[in-house]
Amino acid sequence: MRRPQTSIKRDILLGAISLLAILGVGLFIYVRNFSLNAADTAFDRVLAASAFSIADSIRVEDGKLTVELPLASLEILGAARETRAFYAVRAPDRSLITGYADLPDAARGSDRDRSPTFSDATYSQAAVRIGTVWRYIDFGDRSGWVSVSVAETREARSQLAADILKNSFAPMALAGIVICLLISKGLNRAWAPLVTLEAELTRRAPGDLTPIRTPVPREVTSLVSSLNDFMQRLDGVLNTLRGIAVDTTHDIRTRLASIRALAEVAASEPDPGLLRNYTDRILANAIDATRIVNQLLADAAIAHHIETSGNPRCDFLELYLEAVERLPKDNMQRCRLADLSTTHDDFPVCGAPLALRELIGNLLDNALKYAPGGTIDIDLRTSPDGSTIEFDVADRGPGIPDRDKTRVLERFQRGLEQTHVAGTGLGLNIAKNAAAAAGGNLALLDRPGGGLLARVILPRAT
Amino acid sequence: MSAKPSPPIARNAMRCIALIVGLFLVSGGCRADQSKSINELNVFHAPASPTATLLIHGTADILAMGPVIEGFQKEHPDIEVQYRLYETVPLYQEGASAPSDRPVADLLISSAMDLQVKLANDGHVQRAAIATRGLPDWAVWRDEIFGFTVEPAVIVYNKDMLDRDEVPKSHQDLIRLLERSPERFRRKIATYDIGVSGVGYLFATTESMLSANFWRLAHALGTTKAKLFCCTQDMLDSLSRGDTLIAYDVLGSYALRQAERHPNLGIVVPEDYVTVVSRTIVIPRRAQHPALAGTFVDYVLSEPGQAVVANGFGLSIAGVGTDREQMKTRYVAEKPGLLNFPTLGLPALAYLDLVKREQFVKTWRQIVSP
Repeated sequence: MRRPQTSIKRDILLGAISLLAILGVGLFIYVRNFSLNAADTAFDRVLAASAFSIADSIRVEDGKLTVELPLASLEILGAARETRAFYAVRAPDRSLITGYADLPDAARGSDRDRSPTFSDATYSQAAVRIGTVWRYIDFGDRSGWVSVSVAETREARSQLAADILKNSFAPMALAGIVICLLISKGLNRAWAPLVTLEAELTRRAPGDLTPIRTPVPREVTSLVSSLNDFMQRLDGVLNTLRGIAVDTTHDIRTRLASIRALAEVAASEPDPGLLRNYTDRILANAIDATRIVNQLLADAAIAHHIETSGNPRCDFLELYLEAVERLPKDNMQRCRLADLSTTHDDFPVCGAPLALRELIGNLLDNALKYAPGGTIDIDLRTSPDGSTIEFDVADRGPGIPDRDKTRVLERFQRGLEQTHVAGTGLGLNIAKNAAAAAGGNLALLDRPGGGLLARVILPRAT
Repeated sequence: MSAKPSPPIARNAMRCIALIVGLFLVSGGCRADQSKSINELNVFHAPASPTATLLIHGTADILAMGPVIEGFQKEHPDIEVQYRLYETVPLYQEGASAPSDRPVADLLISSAMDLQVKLANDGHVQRAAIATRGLPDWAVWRDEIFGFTVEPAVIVYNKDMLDRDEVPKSHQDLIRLLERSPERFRRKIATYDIGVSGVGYLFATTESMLSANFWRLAHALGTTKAKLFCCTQDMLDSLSRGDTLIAYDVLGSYALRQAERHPNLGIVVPEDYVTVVSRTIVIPRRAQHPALAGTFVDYVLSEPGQAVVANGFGLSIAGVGTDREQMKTRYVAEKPGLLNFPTLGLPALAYLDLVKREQFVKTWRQIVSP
């Protein structure tokens, strides 16, 4: 089963909307409760004021309790036009003095508690709020607490609560919508450079590996430079391979033509001595052609390897010992290793093992080839400050004049003096590239007392 | 909409009614031989074939109410309207408790605004979805009570028996006139017995709040041994006959109509202040045709409806403020005084409180008819 494709934009937007929705519901409940409480608090004071104004008009006349209902008591409730109101004034024995007899009676708290009490009830088929105040009336043996209850229907309270809710929640809801819109707009804005890049890359010709020049915001600069970097490396690999292909074609074709010409001559040579000479030259040419092909293929492999793989950590000493061991026995005996036993430590470097192996092999090969018969001195050490590894391969051959030292490091360039030695002109170039890929360099120096000293300096991996 | 009131409400309402009716009976005012024939049923047959019958209980007499109903039928010809005449208190009584022997009215129209407010406050009426545009704020309460007339309390006098320059232009004038020669006006002044007349009580309580001279006027009335009446029409008849010289606090609409038939009557809208009542209309909670009732209220408050009301009752709600000229001419007033609109809302309940009402009426009686 295929997983549905994910979308960051949709995820962010949905996440924001759900968060805002949850927040909104929470706020709605909070504000609703707050507004109901606020409306009750506000209107309860009015209810109490109404009850107090009635309580103030309680009199004793001819030993009887009487109340002259003040107009204000109902006027202040009537200020909220929609409200219906009910009242009841009760004597200490709970008998009705005036008002609505069946209005729910309030229970009396302690004598000291003179603050008004409020309760909710249903009366006259409507939800009402009842406020009750108490007044102690002293009139002989029937003295006691007279209660004044005033009830009002909840229309005005609900209206006020709804107004508070509406006026406080509406801006919040609006803000939520605006936030969603902003997020949506922001996401589109953030995505725009990527869309531009995509369009630019789609538009390009397949072989166009020039850097991307489209102006982009700071946030995607690193992506673009990575892309450019990648394309540059790809371009380098392609150029190398192209060069190798051209050179190979040329060199192989020359060799093959030579072999063919010699073979044709040899075919019609009756003299066995001359024929022997021809076959020797054919063999030499074939060996040469084979070496060139091998070297070029190695070069291509290394170039590709260096560009495409990372630099793993590896032990240079191990690679070097392996390379020495792979040498033919007589060559191996010509190598003189510096006293590694005294500087016995590890030599970690960061580089492609394949490339480093070629580097070591080529340097040894060169020294053995150009200084035939002599001993090769090899030294491997850590620099005094411990930051680099130095690898010297020294011979007692003819050396290279200063003017040729940089040239011979280029591909297919050989020392002018050594044309008699079989070689492709690729070995040093491969070694140079391998050292550079590992972050170091290769230098050709004059060895004191004659000969060439090839020195590779690589940063020591930490 | 036929939910029965919960038992406590009904019991409470019954108690209130019993007390109020008791009060009326004790004060000995409510007689059976009043000029209005109580509970007389007027049937307004539908001009077209009837599809429904609207039952209205009201305190406005048929002369004023008839044209309004006929106007309604012009727009809704398929409605038969039955109009039953009531006194304010029995009307309230039937609105508050279920009458067992009579069908429940679809509309209650009353000049006793305070009792109508009490009906609404105690949950006996229902809301009507009425377009109340153009109505003054005071004329609507809770979308349950709708005031549709403006009726000032006026002073009516007998032109034949009162000199032109003696005519009181204000309450102050009336007080001075009575105090100057109490013997001349002995038994010649007519006013409501506020213990009996709902409108009279409403006028008196409103004036007691408006004027510092209210009790001085009451004292002057007492000194001249003013005649107390239960009903407006009785007062006007007595005035036309010449039995009384001046009637004080008369409903403007009745006075106007009486003056048209009896040219010897003059009407004064007091210059210092004018108390006003408004006839109100409600739809009982148990009404059988609430939607139709709403349509009727809509008509009464509409422009054509208000024009008919203005003709029948003197002034419509809509007429106030927009056409003071009309009021001037119809009430023969040089300077119409400040109109004091009634309170349609909770404050109206305060003077309905039994103890308060008892005390007010007792005090007033002690002063006016000791």
